[in-house]
Amino acid sequence: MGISAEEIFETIRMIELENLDIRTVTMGISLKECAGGNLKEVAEKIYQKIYRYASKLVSTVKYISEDFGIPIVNTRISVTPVANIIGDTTEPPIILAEALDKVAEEIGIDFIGGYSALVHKGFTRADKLLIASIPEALAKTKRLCASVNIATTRTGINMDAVRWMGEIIKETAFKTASQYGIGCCKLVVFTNAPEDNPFMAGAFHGEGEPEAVINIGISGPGVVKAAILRLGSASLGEIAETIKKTVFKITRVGEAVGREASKRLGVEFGIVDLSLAPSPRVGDSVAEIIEAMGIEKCGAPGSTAALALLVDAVKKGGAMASSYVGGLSGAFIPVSEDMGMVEAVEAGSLNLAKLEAMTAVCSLGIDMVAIPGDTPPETIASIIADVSAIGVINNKAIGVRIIPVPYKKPGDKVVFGGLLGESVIMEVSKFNSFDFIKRGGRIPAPLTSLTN
Amino acid sequence: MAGQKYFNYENIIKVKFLKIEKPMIQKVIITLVSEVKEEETKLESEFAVAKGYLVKIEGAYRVAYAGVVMDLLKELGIKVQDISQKRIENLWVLAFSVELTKSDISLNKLRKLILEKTSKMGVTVRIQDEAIFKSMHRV
Repeated sequence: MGISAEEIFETIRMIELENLDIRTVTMGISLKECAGGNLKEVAEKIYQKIYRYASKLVSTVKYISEDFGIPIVNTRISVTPVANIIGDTTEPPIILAEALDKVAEEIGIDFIGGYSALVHKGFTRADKLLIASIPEALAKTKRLCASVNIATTRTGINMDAVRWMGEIIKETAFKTASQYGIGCCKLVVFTNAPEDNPFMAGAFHGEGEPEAVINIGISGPGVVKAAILRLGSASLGEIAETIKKTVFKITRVGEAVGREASKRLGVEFGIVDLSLAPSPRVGDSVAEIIEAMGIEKCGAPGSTAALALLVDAVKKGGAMASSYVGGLSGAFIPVSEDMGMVEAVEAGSLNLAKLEAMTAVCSLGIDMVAIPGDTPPETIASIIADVSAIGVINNKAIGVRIIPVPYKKPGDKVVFGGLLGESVIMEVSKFNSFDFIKRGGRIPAPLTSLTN
Repeated sequence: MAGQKYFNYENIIKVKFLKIEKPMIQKVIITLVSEVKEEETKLESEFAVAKGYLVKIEGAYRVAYAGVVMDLLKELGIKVQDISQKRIENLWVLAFSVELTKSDISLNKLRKLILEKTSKMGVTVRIQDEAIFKSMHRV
């Protein structure tokens, strides 16, 4: 049966009025074979391999976007965690960061992720070299993204890594102080990091992934919000049903784009990440979805329940629409990238404590939160530990992307630009947890039965 | 050695690209989206579609937009299967359903020609494979 006029018009409405788009087509590329030799040789092999696989990525995605008439906002690459391929060097692997950034620029992609280390149980020598080099690597590059996995449900939380990441984040911010600490926008501290995440800054090509793969990150908060508003005074059950149906359609677009990209590039199709990713555009906001359900301002009492409903319905609708679901799959609440969240912070309805509560029911945790530049590294580490504990206990992927903006105070405004958006500096607790963080060691893995 | 050659990535890419063939009939949806405008003169026109009926379009600018696309498709020998129109909030959307057979021009060429013809009309034009609508709305 041919397509009906109503189906055509519904699609056009979503694209023209409700900001439907695909957030990212991310090609994951294994760099395992690039290990060996000195860093210069590794850098050369990395450059060659990525170029060989992804030189047609941007043009192919552009053609698919035209053929399907669906905007595709970003094209990205994720690679094997770099700490795993630097071999027996004793030098910081900055040259690899530069090689990744160079190839990303030449291919024309927006971001490249995988300057990463997985240290949830402890550090290798290579992990230490890589983590120590993150501030310089992010200051010297434009498209490179870094991530460090500091905890998993099966291993517990590596508190030495948590403490160190507090310092690394501070150092990164000050190394990019002229751009409001933008280096921290490209650095995520993860718990239970997924191996097939297409979203930055936490994307890397995991250990169990194939040679190369296409992963898709969908978007569409505007479409969901509009669908809820059209319902008028419906019950929450009806809202959940509508979100499921709407996300089903959004995800099907992602699935179609992913399969087509996979076919045209001759690379395996990986997953669709069901996360509703907002953008700084007006009407493309997860906060506005929460408000559309009847919450006066995001962050007000009831916000966590509304977000829980949203995330669950997104997963139910999306899982039906895609043959392979993965990544972070949930809803993102990155403050600076979501105009509704920024307005809620300005209005005083959303603070760090409420964000932490909300993060318990959605993915990515404390994300794109700008805090005062004089926040002590131990306090940043304590925030990471809190968020990580939520992820470990609830067996979910969660992260912290926090920016201690140099020389800025609570209430000041900062503009990161592009998809990274703008934000107001949020207030951080004045009470310290220095002694707790200084203890170090590892918080043991939790029991996964007797769950209360 | 044959085995090694097969696993040369560039060879695999070439094979995959060659495998993509033009389908026998490709169904394409062309949509024109414009902001609703004030009409100075009343005008209406009827356009014949392959299904055997006439579609009436009212409004001077709407008739002009539809005429440009219909003329071009006629010139290319492509039959319009159906035309639909709808006002969505402050937008007016006009959708043409067409079928491209193997002997017709490629989707890319058609896109280029339509975008050329409509470039100065101030409308947003999409030329989409029907597959994306099916994928989105059908289980």
